[in-house]
Amino acid sequence: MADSEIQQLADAMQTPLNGIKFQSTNLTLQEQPPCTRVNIRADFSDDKAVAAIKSLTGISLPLDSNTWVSSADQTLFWLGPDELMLYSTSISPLDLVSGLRDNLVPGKSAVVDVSDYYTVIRVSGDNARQVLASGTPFDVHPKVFGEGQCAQIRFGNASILLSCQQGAREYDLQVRWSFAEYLWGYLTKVGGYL
Amino acid sequence: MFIINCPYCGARDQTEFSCHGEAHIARPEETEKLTDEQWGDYIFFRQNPKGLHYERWVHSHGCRRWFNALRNTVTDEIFATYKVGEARPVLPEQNAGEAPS
Repeated sequence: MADSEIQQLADAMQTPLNGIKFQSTNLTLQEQPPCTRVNIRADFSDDKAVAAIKSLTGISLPLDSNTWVSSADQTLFWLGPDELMLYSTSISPLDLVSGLRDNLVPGKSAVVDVSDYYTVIRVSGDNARQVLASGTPFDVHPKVFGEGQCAQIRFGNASILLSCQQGAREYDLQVRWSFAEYLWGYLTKVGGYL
Repeated sequence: MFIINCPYCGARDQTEFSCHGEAHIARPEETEKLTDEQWGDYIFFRQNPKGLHYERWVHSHGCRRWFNALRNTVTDEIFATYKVGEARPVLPEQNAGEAPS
């Protein structure tokens, strides 16, 4: 393969939706740029594990259910009592995975690079809530689901990780790569009616 | 459609969960000493009560954790959900030593 073809392939494989954007009345949908995503399973009642993750990411862990915390480059989502999702825009998957594996207890933890497994679609605008309500009965009213909160829910037929970026106006939907096109189609169809 | 309270995530829609039958079935110790009949009972035979039933549920589309629920199979009312390993919840009108079968 010629270098240009490899580059084309690399560009095409960057994200499933190629950073596509959609605009409608008070609504913007956009696929977010790719970043490092790592799934962490560990026993968080162990202070050493918590300290190891904290020293690598520089942020304290979201150990309360349905919450996420972030710094400039790193974001941690709560996925379960012993499971977190880490996003990073500054550390490569290889460094992050090896850094975590070296510092967590072997056999009692699992660190998996899922950068190519998920993509994120951002839904923003005053009609964001209306669009979300079309696919899930989950309540996203800012009183009960504000900034810093996340939830793994079903949207249409896709399992997603929904996180509130800005109360009532901006939400991130993390979806499996293979469901990205379906979810995008769903969101744009609903958005088109606004 | 009804709402189920996941012990980890909180109240969620029913479609995120799936039910996997009777809870609190301990795997017998020393399985090599069981008769075929005893082994068959453990593998295949389950309670099928009309009324209260302790069940295993999994939050498939959410946190993917297993938990137990106490459900009325007639009315579909879920009285309690609790983490695996926790004691069975007892309804107020029941005696503590007496679990519904």
